[in-house]
Amino acid sequence: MSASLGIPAPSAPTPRRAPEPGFDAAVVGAGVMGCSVALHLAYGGMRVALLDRGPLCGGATGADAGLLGVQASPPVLLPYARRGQEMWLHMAAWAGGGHVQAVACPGLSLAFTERDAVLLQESAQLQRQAGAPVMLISGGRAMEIEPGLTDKVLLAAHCPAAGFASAHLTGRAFRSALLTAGVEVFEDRPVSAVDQHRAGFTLATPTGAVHARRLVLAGGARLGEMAGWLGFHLPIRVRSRRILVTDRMRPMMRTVLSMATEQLHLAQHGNGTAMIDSFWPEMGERPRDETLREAVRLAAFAIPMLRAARLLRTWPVLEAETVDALPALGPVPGVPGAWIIGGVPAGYASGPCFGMLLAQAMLGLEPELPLFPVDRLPAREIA
Amino acid sequence: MVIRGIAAILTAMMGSLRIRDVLRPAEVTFTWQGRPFRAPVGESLATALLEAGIRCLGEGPGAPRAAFCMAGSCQQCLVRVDGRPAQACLVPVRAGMAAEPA
Amino acid sequence: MSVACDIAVLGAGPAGMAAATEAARRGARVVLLDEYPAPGGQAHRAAPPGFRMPADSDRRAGDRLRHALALSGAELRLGHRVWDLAGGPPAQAGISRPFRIASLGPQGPAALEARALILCPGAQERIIPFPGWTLPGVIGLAAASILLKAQGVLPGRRAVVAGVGPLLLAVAARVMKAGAELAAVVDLAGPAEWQAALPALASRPDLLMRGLAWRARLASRSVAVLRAHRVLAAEGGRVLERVRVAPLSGGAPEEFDCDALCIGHGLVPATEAARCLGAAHCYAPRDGGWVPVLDKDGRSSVPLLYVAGDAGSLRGAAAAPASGRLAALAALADLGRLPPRRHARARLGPALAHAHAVRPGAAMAAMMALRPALLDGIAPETVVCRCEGVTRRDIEQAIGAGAREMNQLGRFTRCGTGPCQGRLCGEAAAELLAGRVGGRERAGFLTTHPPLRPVPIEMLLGEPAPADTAPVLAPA
Repeated sequence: MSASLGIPAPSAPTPRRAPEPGFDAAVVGAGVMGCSVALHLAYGGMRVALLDRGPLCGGATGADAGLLGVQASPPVLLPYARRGQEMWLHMAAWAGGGHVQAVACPGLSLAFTERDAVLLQESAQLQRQAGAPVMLISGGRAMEIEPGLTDKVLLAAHCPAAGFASAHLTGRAFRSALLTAGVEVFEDRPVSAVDQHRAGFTLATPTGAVHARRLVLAGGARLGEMAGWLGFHLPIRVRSRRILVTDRMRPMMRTVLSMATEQLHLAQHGNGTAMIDSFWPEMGERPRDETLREAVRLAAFAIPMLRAARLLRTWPVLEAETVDALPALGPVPGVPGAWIIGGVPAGYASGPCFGMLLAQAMLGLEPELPLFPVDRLPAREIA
Repeated sequence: MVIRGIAAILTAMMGSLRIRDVLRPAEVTFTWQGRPFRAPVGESLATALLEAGIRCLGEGPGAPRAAFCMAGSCQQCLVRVDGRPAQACLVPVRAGMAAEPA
Repeated sequence: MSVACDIAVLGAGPAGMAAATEAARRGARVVLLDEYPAPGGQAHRAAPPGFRMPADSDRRAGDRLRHALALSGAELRLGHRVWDLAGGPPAQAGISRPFRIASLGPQGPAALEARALILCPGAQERIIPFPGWTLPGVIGLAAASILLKAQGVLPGRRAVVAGVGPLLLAVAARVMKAGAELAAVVDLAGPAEWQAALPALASRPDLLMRGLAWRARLASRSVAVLRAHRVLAAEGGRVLERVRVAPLSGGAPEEFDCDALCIGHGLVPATEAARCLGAAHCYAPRDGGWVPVLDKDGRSSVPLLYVAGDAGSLRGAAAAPASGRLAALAALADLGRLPPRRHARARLGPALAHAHAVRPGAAMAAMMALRPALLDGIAPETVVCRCEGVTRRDIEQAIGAGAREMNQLGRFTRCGTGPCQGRLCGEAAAELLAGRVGGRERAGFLTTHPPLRPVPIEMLLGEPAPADTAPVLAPA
């Protein structure tokens, strides 16, 4: 399986070497991006340290809704999202049996108004041009595919290749693969500063310094702050989403639903809980309870049976977004040996792919899809 | 011990759990899974079901669910009342109320 | 829809009623919210309308607090489930931002803005799982107390009453008085612990006398009172049929046939509201576990946020009113409605009353502190998290797979992520984790986000059938 995916096959587990003063690479941030880079670097033969201020995948990754292949990302990102989804679906093959219960199902994007319909037509056309098999269908046809759907749908875009994963399991899924591959995992090890020198980098942490020849910044929402350690200004902003979960309901949904406006995505997990991923910012003047009620209202409009459920839990997810909404994926300009990964909203789905690509580049291989070097961004040195 | 056990089961089959020296309002009829039962109006549904001999209120993922904390906290007594999700320990019995497992 | 007031009080138990009364009497605009249709809380829970229960000292104390509250001018919002708390003044001095309290009430969704907020949510019961604890017929001690006192109903015909703390004897005595058969009383505490608690209890002769009377009643009916004993298992087919009991020191188990097991292993302060607002907490087993960091007047680490009663530290219903009054006076002073000198004078009375009442409460809290030995009684296949069906084995495996903190344990196993939001399983799961990671502080607690309790979506939306047009989302 791994060979057909073009991923370097994990070599036979080698006995863990005694800790040495230096690593080939230190990855700071153990979310999906950091875990994937670390794992693929180790597969490539590097001695890797993976550090996080909290537990593995304890930040935005573990809190993600885990929806795959739904974001109408800029069409240029479609190949990455599809590759990422493929990797999630076959994670056990490249992660030593670890998995996130990913399943494939169709995705439906919904237009309720004429304005939504125009948006939907535009994005469907762009996605088709990028090679995605997206079809526009009537509301009636959408109801046949998704029986729980409201009859108020004007137009829907059908994508056969969506799905969802249990993102809360991601840390558990990566852990044994990382350890087996020989990655040194340092949880609860916040990095406060990075010293750059001829031999590489020295990372300051409360429980001692970590030395490495290469450095990967994979800090999620804190990516901008991390770039600052190297004196590099990354034009990035932090966005907030909120995930809402209902209690268990009878199985009723068979698709991943999105709104044409991209404000909300919705799916029902295998245990019967419905998960709503709401994308509109809540940092403004509006009270949180009203924003939450609006998200629930829109979800229950799309799937009327949600009205019979209870809202059980919600939580915020913070993520970084570059100014052009494309990933920060490549070397840090002017700092040899330093690399950066992240900066793309809804990065969960594509995360394993981005991590693999960066590892390929760092190992001196040709990445199977192009990177997104950050020197395209209006960068400047911090004064 | 065995005889005492049998005696306990026999007493269980008769007599009310409602304590005698409590004054209660008039009884009304409610239904559980379509079967009619009577309880004083305002008694909690969880109490009324306990009195009716109905202890299992649904199936949880791990075990059968029964009212447990009686204070709205444990969520084990989740049922449907007139089609809506409700905690039996927090819902007062009303005339004509139709309750069923969630 | 949003209404402003000076002080909002959450929870109409003894602390909340006293806090609201004190603040409203002194002219503040006060709103008191509670999920129940009548004030009282669990200790003084009012009977449903139209029910008349025999009077006892708890009910009389509750009636006095209710009476004072009714005269105080505080506005009551009863039947309101508070589901979101936000806002509060920013940490640095500057423009004061009110607290925002979102609730679902009899008329639908409501929001309230308050300059100061006093949290009095009380405590919930801790029950460490044991084989068979999910059988119908097993209920909490506090649950039994509610059935007996507020509903006038027996938990069963033949009951075993087990666990630890002041509720144990109270429930046993009530079960017997109400005419049920009491198969056994199984007390975790041994005679030496009771003796050690005696001097503290003696400062409240009324409580002490009541306890002795209960004990005498049990003795007169020759009920088996097993001290330093634990419940090993509850057994039965579809429902509870018998309970297996053994001495803590080991030794031969005994069996008791019964149709009700009322069991509780102490109380735990309800901290989710304070955590939702970001108040600092610390782990203090003798105060009940995780508790907000408070000054002697109930001020939390968040400006203008106060916690009173058992939610701040388990000191019992007798100490709660004084604690509520202290918090109310502090809030009035901090809002500038009570000059410092008048505040200093006004707080002397409640401070004295509180100091007097906390001694027996502290003794009981110490007795109710979590007993790690109970963890041994959880079998590998015993369900710990009922909502998600997570067993002890699942938890141990997740810890083996790298979970070292409660939120991560929740992600790996779903433990605590179901409808009870960890209220039922959190103590046991945290203790299992703490044993492996070096303490409860390291194990941490589940992060609190809204909703504070599950809310029916239909009620949340708050209007009839949806309109034909899709809801338009306001841009941020």
